[in-house]
Amino acid sequence: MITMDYRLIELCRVGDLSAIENFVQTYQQDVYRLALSILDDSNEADDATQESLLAALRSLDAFRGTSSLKTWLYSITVNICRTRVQRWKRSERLRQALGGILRVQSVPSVEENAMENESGEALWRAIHSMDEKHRIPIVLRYYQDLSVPEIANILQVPEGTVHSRLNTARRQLHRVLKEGSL
Amino acid sequence: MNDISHKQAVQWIHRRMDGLLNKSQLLSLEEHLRSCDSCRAYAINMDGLSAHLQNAFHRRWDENSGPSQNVMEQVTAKARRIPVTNRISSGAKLVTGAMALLVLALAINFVVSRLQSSSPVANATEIVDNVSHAEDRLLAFTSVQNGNADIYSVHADGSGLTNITNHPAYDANPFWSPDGKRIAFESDRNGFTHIFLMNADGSDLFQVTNGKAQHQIPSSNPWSPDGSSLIFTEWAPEDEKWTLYTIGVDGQNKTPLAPVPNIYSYPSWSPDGKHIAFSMLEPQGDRDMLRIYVVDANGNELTNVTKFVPADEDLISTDYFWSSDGQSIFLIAGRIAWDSADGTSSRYAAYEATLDGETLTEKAASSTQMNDWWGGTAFLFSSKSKAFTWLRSDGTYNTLKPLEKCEGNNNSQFGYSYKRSLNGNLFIGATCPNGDLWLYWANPDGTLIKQLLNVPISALHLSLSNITWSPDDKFVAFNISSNDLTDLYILNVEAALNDPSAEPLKMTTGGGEPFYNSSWQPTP
Repeated sequence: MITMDYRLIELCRVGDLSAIENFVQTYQQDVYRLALSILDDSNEADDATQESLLAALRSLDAFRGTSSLKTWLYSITVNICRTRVQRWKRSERLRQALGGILRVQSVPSVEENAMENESGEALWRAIHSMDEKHRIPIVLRYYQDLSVPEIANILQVPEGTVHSRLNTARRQLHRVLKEGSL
Repeated sequence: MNDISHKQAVQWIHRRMDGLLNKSQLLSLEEHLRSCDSCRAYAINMDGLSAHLQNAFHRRWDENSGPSQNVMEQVTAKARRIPVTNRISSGAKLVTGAMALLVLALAINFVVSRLQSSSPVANATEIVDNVSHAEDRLLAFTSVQNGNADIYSVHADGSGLTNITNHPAYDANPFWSPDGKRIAFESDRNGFTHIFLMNADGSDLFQVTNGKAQHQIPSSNPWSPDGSSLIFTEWAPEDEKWTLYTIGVDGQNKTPLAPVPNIYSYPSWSPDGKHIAFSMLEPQGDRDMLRIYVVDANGNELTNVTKFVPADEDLISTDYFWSSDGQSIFLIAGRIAWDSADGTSSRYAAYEATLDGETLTEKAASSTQMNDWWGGTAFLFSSKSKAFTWLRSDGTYNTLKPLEKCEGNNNSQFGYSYKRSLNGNLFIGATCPNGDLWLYWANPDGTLIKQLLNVPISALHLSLSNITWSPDDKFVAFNISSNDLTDLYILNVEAALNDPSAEPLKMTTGGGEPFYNSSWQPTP
C-alpha cells in the first residue's frame, strides 16, 4: 500500500521550490538519523544526508511506488553510506600502507575517534569491528526499529538473509556480553 | 503440543526476536522455555542484548537531533537545480531518434498545411498515421485492483478489459515487443523477481532470466529494435550492487554492460541496435553530476559521451534521444543560478554528442528552463510565470499560459506533466492549486496549441503521471492519483481535438499504481 503524498512528489518533479523544501523538511530528520547510525559521525552524516536527499530528488520521477517512499529513501541512504564507508576503508588501507612504508603516523579514523571517545565500551568496539553486512541490519533493527521484511526491502536481500545476518551479529555481540567486557 | 529440541529452541529464540514465528511456534517455544533452564537463560540474555542495543543506540545518537541547518540550505539550493527529470519515457527515446527525420518532414508538411487551412483540428489529424482499426490497439498496464499486482490489457476504445496474468504473485511493468506479439514483464512468481515473456493473451509464458537474484526492467523499454534482446538490471547479493545486462529473448547470451547505482539508469538502445546508452552519476568536485554513457551491445567500449559538457552544467533531464542514424545523442544540460548576486545567470543548452564522446555541439541555449529540444524547437518553461514557450531556431515563438485557467491564479502550487509522442506532438497536463487538471495538445514546433477538453478533470490533491502516447498519436493513457487512489485513463486525442466535449475513459477503479508503466501495442 502506498501512502506517500503523490501531490508532493509531483510538485517536486516539476521543480516546485516550496514542494522541494517540504520534501527535504519532511525526510531530512529520518535520513540523517539513519546516516548517523551507520556512519557514527555527525559530519559524515550531514554529507550523506545531503547526498541522499539530492539523489532521491533526482530520481523521484522514476520512483515506481513498489515500496513506500520512506523505504525507497532509506535504500538510497544505505547505499550512499555504504559507498562512503567503502571509500573510507580504501583510503584507510592506503594510509596504513603508506604509514607502514614511510613510518608515518596515520590519522585516527572516524571510527577510531568514536571508539576512543567511548573508551572501554567493548560493545561499541564489537559493533565497529563488524562488516557492514552485519552492522547495518543490526542498526536498522534496533535503532530504526524496522521489521525484517522492511530491512530486506531496503537492503534488497531476501528476508532469510537479513535474519541470518542478524543472528550472526547478535551471537557476536552476545559473546562480548558473556565475556563480561561490559 | 510438540516439544522442540534445544537446537531448534535457540533458532526459534532468534526467529522470535525478528518476529518470524507463527502463533503455534511461539506457544511451542514458550512451553520449551518453561521446562529448559539453559534455553530460558539464553532467551533472557538475548532479550537483554536487544534492550542493551536499543538503549546504547538511542543514548549515542538521539541527542544529535538532526542535520545541521547548512544541510537543509545546501540540499534545497542544489535540489532546485533538478527542475525536470524524465519527461519523455525512455521507450519514446528509443524510437524518437529514429523518427527524427520523419518528424522534420511532418513538421514542414504541417506548416504548409497550416498555411492552406485555418483549422488546427484539421491539421492535427493530418499528422497521425492512418492505422486501420486503431481502436483494436491494446494497452497493457499494471493494476492492483484485485489485491495484488497483475497485468491487464484493454483495447483503445475501452473494450475487452482482461487480466492477462491473473496470478497471486507480483506481475508488473509490461512492455510490448516491437512486433506487438509478446509482452516482457517482471514477476516474482518463482521466488525472486525475474523477467518473463508472454503472448498478448497471457499464453506461452517463458522465464528469460534465471538464478537467485532480483531482476528488474529498468524503468524503460527494454526491447532491442529487432526484438531479439532485452535490457535488464540484476542485483548481486554478494557484491550488493546493480548491474545492467542484455540477454537474448531465449534466455541465452546474458551480457554484462556496466555496474549502475540503481535501476533508474534509463538505458535505451540505439536505433540500429548496436549500442546502449544510459545515465550515470559522476563525481565533479563536491557534487555528483548526471552524465550519459554509451556501451556497445556486446558490453565493450564504455564511453562517457558527455565529457565535454561544461563541468558546472548538470544534465537537466534524464531524457535524451538518439539521432536517426544512431551516431549521436541529443541531451539538455545547464546550470541554475539561484543567487544572482555573483553576476551569474541560469543557462540551459541543448547539445548533440557523438558516440565517441569527442564532439559536443550546442544546438540551442536559453536562460529559461529548457525541458527538451525537438527538431530545432526548444520547449521552455518559466517557473516564474508558469508559462510554456516553444522557441524555434528562427527566433519565432509561441506561448501557453495554463495558469490563466486556474481559479484564483495562485501560482504557488501549480504543477505540470507532459509527454512527447513518437511524432513529436506534446500532451501537457497542467494542475491548478484547486486540483483542476487542464489538458493540452501541441504540435512539434508549438505553432499549434489546443486545449483538449472543455472542462478540467477535478479531484482533491490530484496528480498526473505515467503519460503514454499510442504510436499513431491517436490515444494517450495516463494515471490520475487522488487521495492515494490511482486510476488509469485513456483519452482519444484525435476525437478530443475534433470535439473538446469528449471525455477520457476511466479504466480502473482506484486500483492503479501511479508509478507503474503502461505500454501500447506497436501494431494492432
